[in-house]
Amino acid sequence: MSGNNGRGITNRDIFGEVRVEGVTKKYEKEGQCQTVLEECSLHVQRGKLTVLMGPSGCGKTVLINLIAGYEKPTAGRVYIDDTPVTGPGRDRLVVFQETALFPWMTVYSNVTFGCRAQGISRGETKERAELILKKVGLYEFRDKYPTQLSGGMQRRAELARAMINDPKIMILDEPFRGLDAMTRQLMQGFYVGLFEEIGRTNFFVTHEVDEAIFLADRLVIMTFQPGKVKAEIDIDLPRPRDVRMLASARFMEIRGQAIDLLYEEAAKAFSAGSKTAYDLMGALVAQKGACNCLDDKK
Amino acid sequence: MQRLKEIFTDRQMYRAVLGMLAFVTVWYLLTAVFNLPRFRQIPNPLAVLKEWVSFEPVSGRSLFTGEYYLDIAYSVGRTLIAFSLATVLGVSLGLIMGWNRMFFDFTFPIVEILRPMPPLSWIPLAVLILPGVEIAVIYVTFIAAFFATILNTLLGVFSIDRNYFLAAKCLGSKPKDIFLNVVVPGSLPFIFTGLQIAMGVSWMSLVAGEIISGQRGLGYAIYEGYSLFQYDQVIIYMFTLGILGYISSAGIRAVGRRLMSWEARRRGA
Repeated sequence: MSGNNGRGITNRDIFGEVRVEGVTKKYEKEGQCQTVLEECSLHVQRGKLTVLMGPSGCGKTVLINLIAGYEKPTAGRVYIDDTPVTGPGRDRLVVFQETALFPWMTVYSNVTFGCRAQGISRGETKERAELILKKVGLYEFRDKYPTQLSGGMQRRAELARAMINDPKIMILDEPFRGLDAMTRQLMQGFYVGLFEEIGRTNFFVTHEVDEAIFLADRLVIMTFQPGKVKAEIDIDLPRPRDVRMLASARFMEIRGQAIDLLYEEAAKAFSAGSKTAYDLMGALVAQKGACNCLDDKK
Repeated sequence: MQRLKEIFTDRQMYRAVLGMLAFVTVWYLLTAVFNLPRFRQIPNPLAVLKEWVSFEPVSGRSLFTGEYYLDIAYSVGRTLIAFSLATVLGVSLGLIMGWNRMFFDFTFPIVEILRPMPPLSWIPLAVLILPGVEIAVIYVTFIAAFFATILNTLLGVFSIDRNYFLAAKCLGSKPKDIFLNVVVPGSLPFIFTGLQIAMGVSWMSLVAGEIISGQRGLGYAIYEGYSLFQYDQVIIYMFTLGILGYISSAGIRAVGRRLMSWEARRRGA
């Protein structure tokens, strides 16, 4: 983790900001119209790490697809620096839930994929790749195939593949899902360090309260069906962040606040019969203390 | 570790030999010892072997005659031409069908109707339309392999995780790059499964084609042996086909492993 607040060094203006304005997204399924997002507005600030949370099925992934430009909203607009989104672009890079490294390419080829697609010269590509591979600690593994790497290494390779292109905005859709607890915590520390060093605009989606608060400058909580922004919390924990902060009083305070907000939505999702909501409920109950929860429910 | 591997392979070898011995013994018992009524005309394994390595074979075909290799050359040549055509055309068509929705909509129904037609049912049309019996036999050998390749290539393209396309797109790939970097390598495992199947059906249809309308070649010689009561020759050629089939299959697997080293590593090799 780089020392005294490396964020100040970089010129933040080169990074982008995202404005989601009054976005509604409806899907038609077997003649039934389902509203996933309704009048959803959101601001992902320049050079900040914004974390999005919400129960399963609240349209987090849909929102990502809209920002990435893979899908188009039914109503409303998504702007990147005042330019409406019309399709995917390499100013916004997405790191996916499940690893999307190409299994048929070595780590090096994967990481340099974007450079080659954009026709950047071989020399410069190599230079950039070496720098970034060393940064994520995969330089010695550059000739391996993704399946030969551990889960954590795969995620780091994926981060490298996105960062080498210097995107204005990085979008991460539950990037640490499926990692074991230990690796996950290491990756969180690694990722937050990278962010603090570079200070890019990051939009990060997760299920985990602790992860969210540990990483975020700003925490956005969504409502369950139809999805819109329920609350935004500014996380004023100092940077650089450190695992020890997980036990600080301020952290616990924010955490309690976030869990209360999330719990309402999770309960809605739960009674609506969402399968995965059950898991979130279970997790929240465990975190909040079971008796406390049961009282709230009435 | 090395020793362990040796013991393992040794034991495997030993079992393989034992299995084959059992097979030959049953054959020997049925033909030479018990001489069962339905097996009276079937030559026993020793007689077949003797004929196979004879310098002066009764049928005029053994390991030491040019005739034998000429038959092999004819069949291998036909199969190679048909299989290569099937690979080139089948893979290209399959990739385009998987890639282009409109092309798929146009072509898939036709493919699905033509695909189940047994290769032999093509013989009359093939003979009528194509110049010369030789090309007709090659066509019959080609057709089933062609459809097997198309279908598997198509499945290969469909099997590619959607995320790979999204990732390539957001990394700035143009459609051409996505085709070359995602569609082609992503469907390789299925393509090679398809090629294995294609090779198998090629040999099957070849022999049938040669029996019905061929001149020379293994299938033709099998039928000839049957008509001339030279059953040694029939069995020798059957085994020859088995060996050729095995070699061609192994060849495809070897090429596949070469091209998909990333797949092999996944299996922990």
